[in-house]
Amino acid sequence: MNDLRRTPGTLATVLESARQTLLLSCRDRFWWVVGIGLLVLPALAYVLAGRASERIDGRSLYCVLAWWLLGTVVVPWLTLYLGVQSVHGRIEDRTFQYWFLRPVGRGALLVGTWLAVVAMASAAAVLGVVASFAAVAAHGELWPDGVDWRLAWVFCSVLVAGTVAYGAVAALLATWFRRPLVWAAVFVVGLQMLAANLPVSAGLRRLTITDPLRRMMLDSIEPDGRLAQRLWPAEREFRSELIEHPLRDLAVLVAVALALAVWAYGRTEYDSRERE
Amino acid sequence: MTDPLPSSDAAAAAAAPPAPSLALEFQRVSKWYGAISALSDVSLRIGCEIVGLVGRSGVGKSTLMKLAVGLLQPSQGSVRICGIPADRRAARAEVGFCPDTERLLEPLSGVQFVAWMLRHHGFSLAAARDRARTVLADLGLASHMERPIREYSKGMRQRVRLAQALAHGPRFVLLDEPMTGLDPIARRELIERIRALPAHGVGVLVSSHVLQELQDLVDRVVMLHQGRVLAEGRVAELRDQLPRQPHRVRVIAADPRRFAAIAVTWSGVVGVRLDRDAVEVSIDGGPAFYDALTELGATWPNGIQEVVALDDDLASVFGYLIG
Amino acid sequence: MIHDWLREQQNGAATTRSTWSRLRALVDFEFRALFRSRWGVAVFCLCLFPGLGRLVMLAIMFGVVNFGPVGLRNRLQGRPELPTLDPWRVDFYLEPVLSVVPGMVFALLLTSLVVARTIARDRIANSLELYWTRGISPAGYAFAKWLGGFLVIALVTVAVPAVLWLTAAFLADDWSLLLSGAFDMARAVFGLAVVTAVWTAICLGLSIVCGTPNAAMVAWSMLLFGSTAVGAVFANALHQPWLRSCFSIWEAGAVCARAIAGASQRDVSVAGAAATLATTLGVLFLLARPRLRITEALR
Repeated sequence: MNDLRRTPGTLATVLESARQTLLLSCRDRFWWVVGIGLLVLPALAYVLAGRASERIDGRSLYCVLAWWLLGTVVVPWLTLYLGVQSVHGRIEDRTFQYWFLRPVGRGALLVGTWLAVVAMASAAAVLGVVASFAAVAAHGELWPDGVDWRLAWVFCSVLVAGTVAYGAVAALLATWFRRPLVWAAVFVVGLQMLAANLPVSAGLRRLTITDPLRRMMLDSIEPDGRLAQRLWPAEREFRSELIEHPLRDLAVLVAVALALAVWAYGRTEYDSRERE
Repeated sequence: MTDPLPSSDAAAAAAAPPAPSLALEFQRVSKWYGAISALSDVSLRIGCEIVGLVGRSGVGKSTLMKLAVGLLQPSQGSVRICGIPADRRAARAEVGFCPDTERLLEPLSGVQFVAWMLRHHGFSLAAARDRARTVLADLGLASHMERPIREYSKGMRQRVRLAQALAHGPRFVLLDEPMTGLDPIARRELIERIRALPAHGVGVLVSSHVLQELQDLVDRVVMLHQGRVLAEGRVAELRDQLPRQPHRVRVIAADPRRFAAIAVTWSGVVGVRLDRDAVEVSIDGGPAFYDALTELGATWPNGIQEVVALDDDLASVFGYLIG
Repeated sequence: MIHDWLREQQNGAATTRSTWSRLRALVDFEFRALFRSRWGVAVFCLCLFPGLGRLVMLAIMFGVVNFGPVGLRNRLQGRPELPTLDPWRVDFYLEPVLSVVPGMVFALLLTSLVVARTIARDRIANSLELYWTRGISPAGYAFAKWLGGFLVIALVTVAVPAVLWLTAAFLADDWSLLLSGAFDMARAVFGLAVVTAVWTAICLGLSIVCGTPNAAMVAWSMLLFGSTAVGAVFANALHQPWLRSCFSIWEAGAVCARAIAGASQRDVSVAGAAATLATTLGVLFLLARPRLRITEALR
């Protein structure tokens, strides 16, 4: 029987952890809410597009809708919830012990969990982007120059990058704090909203996810002044020089957050005595 | 490595790999939670045997077990499993732990849960499922193993916890309150299973609040009190190390009143109490009482019908030790 | 000891506690919960920051302290044109509470900690059945939880503006602020209390409906933050600013509070805002009612 066993390597552990997290999370009742949300979103977009014909063009409407709803609300909270639930949920109900007793690295387990969270949140984000785009694109009168399908691709890539970053932040908060969702709220509505009102040059913006994502999006869609103002109200005159290096900023944030999370997960004694 | 759940037959025992001489070793281990001392200067050496861990709630039993499986780090001292430091990954391949946590992965079935854990020991998907089924069936969950865990009773959950601890074939197993929730038949079966483990090269450390149960199971006990090892050894040996504590013996004989009147005059007898048809005699531990009883029994009408030591059990020893 | 107590119970010697005294114990427990941990106290203090900011402004305006750039000081010491910067108008006291930043941000933090988790946590810990077998009805339990949470949040959203106004009244050169503004301020306090009660009830409703504390917190955050975003998108796309107050739970509350207080506001629909709050409360009530049945708690 024991011949069937091989010591699992780091990659195998990451993949197995991701598989287990995916299978476990798929049974969460929360997905029903996400499913309903994915039905409501295109319906909302369709109704909005139907009433907006003379006031806004399809491109602007879709960008505003996708950025403000998906980019600043749905993707952050969905990813943070999934990440916190997958990592911190196990710590709270003490089931993490069963994984920690295995001859595999805790870091690999955490990275696998993070990958699964990113995969789930990305799938939901891509479905949301495609569904809402289809709803707006269905109103042909809003697209005098033809439907700009590239927008869907831009938002898919931007929001997937968002899930990667929010997933890393969720892992960081879940491994470091007893109330990670409170800290998630501090991050999303405290730090990010505060930073959104700061000058474009403020260094604090690099500690957020919204800001690099917004720059990535603006860089890709090349908006006119009015659309830029709608998407970036803090900046009165949008110029391409303001974009700088959003992907690098995001990559640094993800790397730092994940490294800190893996470090804490690997060394912390998640003992009930200290948590109660 | 050993089979997941070895049966108790001799043939299987004979086929077992050689046992490591020292499975678990604590060297002057202390553990503090801030200002609170959970364990203080604990040294233990456990080989291929079954050792019971006894102590009141909060004396550090669970802390000791978690230190042994690397879930906690000692503040001082070192812990080794099969010669490997307990916090190393390699040590975790050699150890199985049945925690006292109530929760399991509720949406999964028993087979899925055990198989998932086996996957992290390097088993392929198919092999992990097969092994999980075998172990769960062996623990009496054959007809329920495919149902979701959230539908399981307390006893069934306990078996799943045991299964995940034993399935990968560890060399040392730590069982924190393993009998909780099991019915009497299941308890007896489990005791037999655990008893068979040392023959297969597996050391066992088991904690239980039911001292009677532990007495039937273990080779020796470690008694913890206020984070320290209060006593260690076989129950009878420990009892003999308490000379100042009078033994209590229950004697059933015809005419108990007269027997009591005679017994109270014997040297070594410190007290006598009549209890319906029996006499409970407190003795100072020396052999004088038994010599006099043998002598009297030869001449006593209808003889002495029964002599039972009332406090040679683990519970009494534990009670005397912690006062 | 426990035997004596049981004997007392059997002999009827123990006094029967009234329903209200049982509920009051629960309200008291809920109210103190935040202040039992250092983090809870820290978050509460953090939520006082906007009020403290206004206090500093008042101190500069009335010449109690004399710091900051001269230009700013002179500007503050004159009568500002903006109603939200004029201590003689209720807008000054309402603004730190009702604005999206920082008002909503701090309210979200506080409600997430105090109210959003409370019933979901009891449900997951199987405490509901304990409460309901001790003479506390599901409705009484929900009411006590609501009242305890409301009192904590009202400390920030109602008490702080009231204290600020009283401070301004005593700092002013004469009693004109007190005499002319007392009625308006009473209305403002009432308005703030009403919307705080409604926001607390909505948050509590989500706590009842959701299965875990984490889900309840995320649902509350998404509802508050998400509805504000939806409102902004609709208002922006359709060039109808009043739509904000018809979609956003926060904006709707703010509009209603300002309307009750008689504060200045434009491009809003008070009826739409009230309808939004009422609809949300109604839907949550319908969803929450079956979740508080005794059979549900025993699952």
